[in-house]
Amino acid sequence: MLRLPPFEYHAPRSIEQAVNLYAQFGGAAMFAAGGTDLYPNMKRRQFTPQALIGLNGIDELRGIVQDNGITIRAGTTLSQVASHPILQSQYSALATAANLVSTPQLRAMGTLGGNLCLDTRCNYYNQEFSWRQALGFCMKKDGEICMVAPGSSRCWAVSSTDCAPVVVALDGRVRLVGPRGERVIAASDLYRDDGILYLGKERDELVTEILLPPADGTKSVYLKLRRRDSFDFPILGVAAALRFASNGEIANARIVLGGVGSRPLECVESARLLMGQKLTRELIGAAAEAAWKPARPLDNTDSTHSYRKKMTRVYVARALEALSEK
Amino acid sequence: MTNLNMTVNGKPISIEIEANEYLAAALRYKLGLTGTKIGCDEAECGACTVIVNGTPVDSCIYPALKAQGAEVLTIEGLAQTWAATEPGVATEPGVATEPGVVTEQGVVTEPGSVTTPALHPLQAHFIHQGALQCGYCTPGMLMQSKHLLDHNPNPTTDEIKVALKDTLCRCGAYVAIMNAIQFAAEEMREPNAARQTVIPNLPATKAPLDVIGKPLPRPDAIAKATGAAKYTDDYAFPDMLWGATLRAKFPHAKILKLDVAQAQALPGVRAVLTHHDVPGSKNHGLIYNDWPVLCYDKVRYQGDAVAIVAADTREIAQRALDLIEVAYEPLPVVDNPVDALKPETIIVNDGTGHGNLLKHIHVEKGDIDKGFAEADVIIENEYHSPFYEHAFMEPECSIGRVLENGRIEVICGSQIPYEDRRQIAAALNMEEREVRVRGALIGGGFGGKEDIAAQIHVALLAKATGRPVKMLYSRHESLVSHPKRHATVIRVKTGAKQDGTLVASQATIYGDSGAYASLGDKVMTRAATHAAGPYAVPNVKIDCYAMYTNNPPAGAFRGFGVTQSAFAVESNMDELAHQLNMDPFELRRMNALRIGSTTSTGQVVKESAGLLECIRLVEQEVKRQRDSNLQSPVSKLQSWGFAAAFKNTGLGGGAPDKSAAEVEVFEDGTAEVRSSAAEIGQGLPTVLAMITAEELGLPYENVRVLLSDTDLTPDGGPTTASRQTFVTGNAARYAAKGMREILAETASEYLDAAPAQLTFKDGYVSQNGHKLPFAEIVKRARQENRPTRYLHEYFAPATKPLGVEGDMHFGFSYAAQAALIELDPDTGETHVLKIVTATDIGRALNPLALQGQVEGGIMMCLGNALTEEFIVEKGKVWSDLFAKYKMPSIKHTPEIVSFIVEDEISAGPFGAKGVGEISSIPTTPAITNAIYNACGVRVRRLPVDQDALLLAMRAGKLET
Repeated sequence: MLRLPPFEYHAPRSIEQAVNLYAQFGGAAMFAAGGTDLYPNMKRRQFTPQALIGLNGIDELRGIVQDNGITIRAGTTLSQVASHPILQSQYSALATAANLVSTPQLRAMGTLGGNLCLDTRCNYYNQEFSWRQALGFCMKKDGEICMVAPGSSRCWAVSSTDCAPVVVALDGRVRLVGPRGERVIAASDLYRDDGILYLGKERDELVTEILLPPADGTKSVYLKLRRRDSFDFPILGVAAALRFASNGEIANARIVLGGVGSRPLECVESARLLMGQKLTRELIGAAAEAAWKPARPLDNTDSTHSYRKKMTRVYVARALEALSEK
Repeated sequence: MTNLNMTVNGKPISIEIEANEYLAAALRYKLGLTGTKIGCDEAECGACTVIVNGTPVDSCIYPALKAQGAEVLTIEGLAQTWAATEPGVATEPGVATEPGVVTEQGVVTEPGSVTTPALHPLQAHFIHQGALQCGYCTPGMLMQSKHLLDHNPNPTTDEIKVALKDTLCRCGAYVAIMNAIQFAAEEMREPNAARQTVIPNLPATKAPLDVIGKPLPRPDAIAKATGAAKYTDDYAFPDMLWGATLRAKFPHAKILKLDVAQAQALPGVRAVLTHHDVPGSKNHGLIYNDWPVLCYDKVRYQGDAVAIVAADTREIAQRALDLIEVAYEPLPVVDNPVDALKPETIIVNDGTGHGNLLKHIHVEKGDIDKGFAEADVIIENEYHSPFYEHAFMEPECSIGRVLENGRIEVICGSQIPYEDRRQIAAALNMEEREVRVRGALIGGGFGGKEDIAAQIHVALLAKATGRPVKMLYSRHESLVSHPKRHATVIRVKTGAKQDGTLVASQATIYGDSGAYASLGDKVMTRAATHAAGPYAVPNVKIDCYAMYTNNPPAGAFRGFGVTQSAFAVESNMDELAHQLNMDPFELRRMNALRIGSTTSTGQVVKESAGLLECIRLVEQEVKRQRDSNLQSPVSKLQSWGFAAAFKNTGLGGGAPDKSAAEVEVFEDGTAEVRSSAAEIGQGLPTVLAMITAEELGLPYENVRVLLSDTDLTPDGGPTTASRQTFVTGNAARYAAKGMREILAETASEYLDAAPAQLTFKDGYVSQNGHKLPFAEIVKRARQENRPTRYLHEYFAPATKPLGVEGDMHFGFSYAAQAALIELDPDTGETHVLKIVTATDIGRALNPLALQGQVEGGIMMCLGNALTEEFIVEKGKVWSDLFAKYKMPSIKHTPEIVSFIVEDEISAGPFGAKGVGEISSIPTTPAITNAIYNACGVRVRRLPVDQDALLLAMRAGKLET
């Protein structure tokens, strides 16, 4: 059976304590929220931190607060996000996405902050240690080269979080707290187009809150493609958010794809086509066509990349159709 | 070490624990609460689900320290949560009430609750609905269900499917699970309401005898539902060491150097063994002795064992493996059976003296050229199927111990205990009498636990250290090491007259048997002999090549080769029906094997051939459903597909097929039936207890079953080929009959009647109104020094080897299935909405267990058709985690309408023949034929690739 490598476990009671503890270990520690992805990865020795800083005991990381918009503290579990009435009614794509993450058991453990910071994935990376040892390690862990694209100087591991495309599509922001104080950044700036350094935050910074602006009539939807309707990670996620003006024209549009690159991918051209227009069948087709082009999945997850690319068009169209019916 | 304080099942607990220990391990190994099971160890199967502070979590990845101060509920505490809400009831374990008599289909005449005081309603209804088979997923399933009912007292089927969608049951008991949860919910809402126990999915079967034919729950059901059931890893011994295995780094390589010195020097390591330390036979194997116990000259697949370690802890054992130095010289990798046969290809394994050719199987009947010359239509196609994985929920585990007198004992979950004993003794250079194999409960097998896993390794390590040694495989290790279902390439040519009469059937089959023979030649023989389908074809020629390659070994897997050839044959048959513009039911009916038909191997079918009735029932139901759906316009991509199949019962092919069972009777009016035959979830103990009870006239509860202990139970032979109900069932029946004759002689004096006139019923022996309790007769028999044990060695009807005229098998089971699928034209996704199935199994000994086999077989091959593929590239296993082997979950469960055909076989126990495999075989082609009917594309390659299907649909291609 697989064993967790040895580590120290610390359970701070406040954000400040957590951040200070992290700094003490100088990079040899990791934050652990739900741990639902972290612990299996540790068993496979993708991570061997000296210490884990468990965040479950920190009360100020839990809860959903209605303010001008809505603030979801990062330690809120995915099942709480999925079942929250305001999120369900006004930010429904987020409730949907949270409800589609992995398994019911893991949603009860896993947190929104954890899902937003989910490690990128790749067929060559997400393997048991002895498997990787036998084949040769890849650049994301212990190796030098990328197995998917051996000539590449970068890692192409895939952003596989269900919630990130939604938070980006909803114009969300995240609050980061680190040893140098705190800052708030746009959710889209939380991600970088790199399979290894995929987060646009410093390692010692902790995501403490997710801030969503007032819904203001914005309708949103999230669709997920995977081989079975079971615990699989998304091989394509489509988050779409539209706000309609009183005359029925689209006043604001964002479409963000997950599972097709190292970061959530925004379909800028699709949004541009939608702005100021009424949502017709033709327009949906055009927006879906525009979304399809920039999606460049690689052959490093389940299913073929050509299929995932094709499905981008189908799923974006379905997402917009769902919004037109809402 | 940190102190962990928590409440477990209401009791405060305080233990010392390391930070990297997780909750499942703490519960199991520190607290002895072994009801919580570890299936995948990576939060992918749900078997380890426990409830922490009201929330279900996967305890295999939940650090124990996170439970600091928490309330933890495990399966062992489930019943008391219900007892607590029902004041006044006892919490001592009780015995489930007898469910009474079946009056009509599915209705059991018992008013009120089926819950005994010591069971939670979920446990009780799981037991009575047959919602547990091997039982390994059951604790996790129950805990997740409890959480569902805590929050939703009246869940719909869809809500159950969402809640349980990631709690996997490989036995596929999902229909019964959904029913059980809804009945439990009903009882929990209204605990005191009188109600009838209904088993909604129970098929109609013949009127029952006293015991036989009743839907009785399994004898081990309570233990499995309460967490008391013991699988191998649930045993522990003082001073027990942990073993670990160093696996090959390459799929094919010469071993240049093997140095264990550093590993041996690591403190805490008690033994490091290599091939030098194997005192006896260096190889093992079920038929061919071609599989190294520990590799010596080269490695032939990625899962090959190179060295083994025993150490004080699992961590130390793992670290020791890292310190073993092996230098390899990689060799060319043979990755498919077609290349393997080419003369220029490097030889992987010369196990049979024919290079990479494990076996060439040739089946010939009539004159194939003449047959095709007579044909008006010829259909010829090539089909491909990948490796498939059994994915039994319990990973392999073995414990080896040295007994006081120097004998070696191995506890394991084995499908063939006596074969294990033979192979262990040979490797250790011991006599078989010096080895004892004790079978623990088995968390699923499906053919995947017939070969040796760690049984020899733990015996070697125990002998080397003098201490008990346990080896528990991780899921990764299980996936890379044990044999798979053969990947195949099958070319089939079918010829028919214009009226549909089949005149010729030819097939060339390549089977990838991987690095070692395992049961490869037998499996591929079955693929070949069934490759003309369940039809009477006058001219047949089949050539099948079972090949060695550097892929994982392939061996037994439910269906035993017939799953693959049925996909090819039934696809061709369907295509033939379309070419001839014939009804696919009619084409099968015209050609179906029936009494008087001759099979491809020249066997004349003499009895028990219910295929025509299976086809009739399925056709009638499908047409009825089609007609009744006329009002609601169905999507154009919804369609039915049909397939038929047959499968031998028993080993056949001239192999003596025997089993022994012993029955002992006791003065308390009970009996025990014993045999070394494996229970892998299919329900063998149920059948043996029922047969014995029927013959002795005892209540079912009065018969105990002891299985799989080579010291205490006679050899029941392998659990394979759907043979146990027939062969060991007969052994038990004749043993019980023999016992009854002795008791009848005793009783005849007291009841003043001839032994043959006595009636054994309900625990009494009677004649003309006079009766004596069974217990009393046993007592008197003992006083008279009569034997109270009876052993019977049963030999199934003799069979003939392939190529020799006569019966190759003593019986066949038959099935017909239709699948209703829905295909999304934009994404290529296929969903199975309904399966209509009819299965001829001779006689339904227990309709509840039978239905479990039927539904489980369908679920397994639904995965075979649509979602599963064990991916191996250049000998490298990609599907090395459960998350990467995509088996169906409860969400994929279709509506299943099941008919049972009871065309009795004269030699079978009460007319029964095998069911374990036949139920799964037609499912795949029924689904792929439905896909053709929906979109006009023939699936030639499994599993269905939705991308390829979509491309073919878009491009107007006719196949993919």
